[in-house]
Amino acid sequence: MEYSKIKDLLGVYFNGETTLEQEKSLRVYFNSNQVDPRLKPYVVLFDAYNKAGQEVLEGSLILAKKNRVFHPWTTRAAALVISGVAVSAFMYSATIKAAQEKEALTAFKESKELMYLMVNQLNKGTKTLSLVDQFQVHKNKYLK
Amino acid sequence: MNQKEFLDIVLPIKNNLYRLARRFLISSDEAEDAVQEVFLKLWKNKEAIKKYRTPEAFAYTMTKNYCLDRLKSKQASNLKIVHTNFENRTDLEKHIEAKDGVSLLFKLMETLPEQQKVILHLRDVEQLSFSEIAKITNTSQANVRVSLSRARKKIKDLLLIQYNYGVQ
Repeated sequence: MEYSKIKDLLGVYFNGETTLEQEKSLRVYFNSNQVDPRLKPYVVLFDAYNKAGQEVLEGSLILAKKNRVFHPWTTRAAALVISGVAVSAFMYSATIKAAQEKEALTAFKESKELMYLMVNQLNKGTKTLSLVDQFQVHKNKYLK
Repeated sequence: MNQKEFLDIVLPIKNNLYRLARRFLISSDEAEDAVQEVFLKLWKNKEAIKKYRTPEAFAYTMTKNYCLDRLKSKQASNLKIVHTNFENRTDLEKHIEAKDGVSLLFKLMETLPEQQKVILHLRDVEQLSFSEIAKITNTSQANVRVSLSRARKKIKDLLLIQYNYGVQ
């Protein structure tokens, strides 16, 4: 394209009145190697736009990880289940505790009785042992 | 709306959103994060997307707003990293020249007001029609033309100053 035509088109371009087709032809012209030396400053302009248009997003986008949205009723149900489990666990542990206490009490009672029995037997034993002392006393009377 | 329907709408424009984010945030990592965040937000509001006649415009607007929020937040204060992502030239000299030109142009673009920057990007990089740009930026087509003209002229003036080494 000749210089004057491009210059006119550039004027329209800077007024913001070019159509997309006209802009495309400008871009094609300035990216070719036959740019008129008088229009050289504008090469950078169209080159930069061209380059900028080629940039692409290289990383991949994540959607799946953060998009798990729970419905309100699921959270409510979960809360109910958790509190139910907690309450029943507490109750269960309480009954276990009571049973253990009962068992311990009976064991204590029984062992107490057993102790009494043993003490009685022991007392009987010591009573009989006192006779041994008597024996000693009488023996001392005769054997000096 | 299931995941597949959602992806059918948003995946084709992921690169466009990325490029838009790139114009604002400069560093490619930051722009990638922005697109990721916008996608998550869109996915969370996936039921709302149906109500929009043009989900693409909605996604663009969301990206723009997200980027502006990022820039305003304190987090972005140390995120300005030099733009270095153009490496497909074999001719080294030409490559350096182009790279300089490209990064120079993006620096010039940074001086534009946000709205003009978005419009210039959508038109000259993404080659969208005026009606599409008007939807994305929530203005009239006449306004888009005016802003575009101002942006292009400003870039031209700055570019010519640079090209003539400040001598006019």
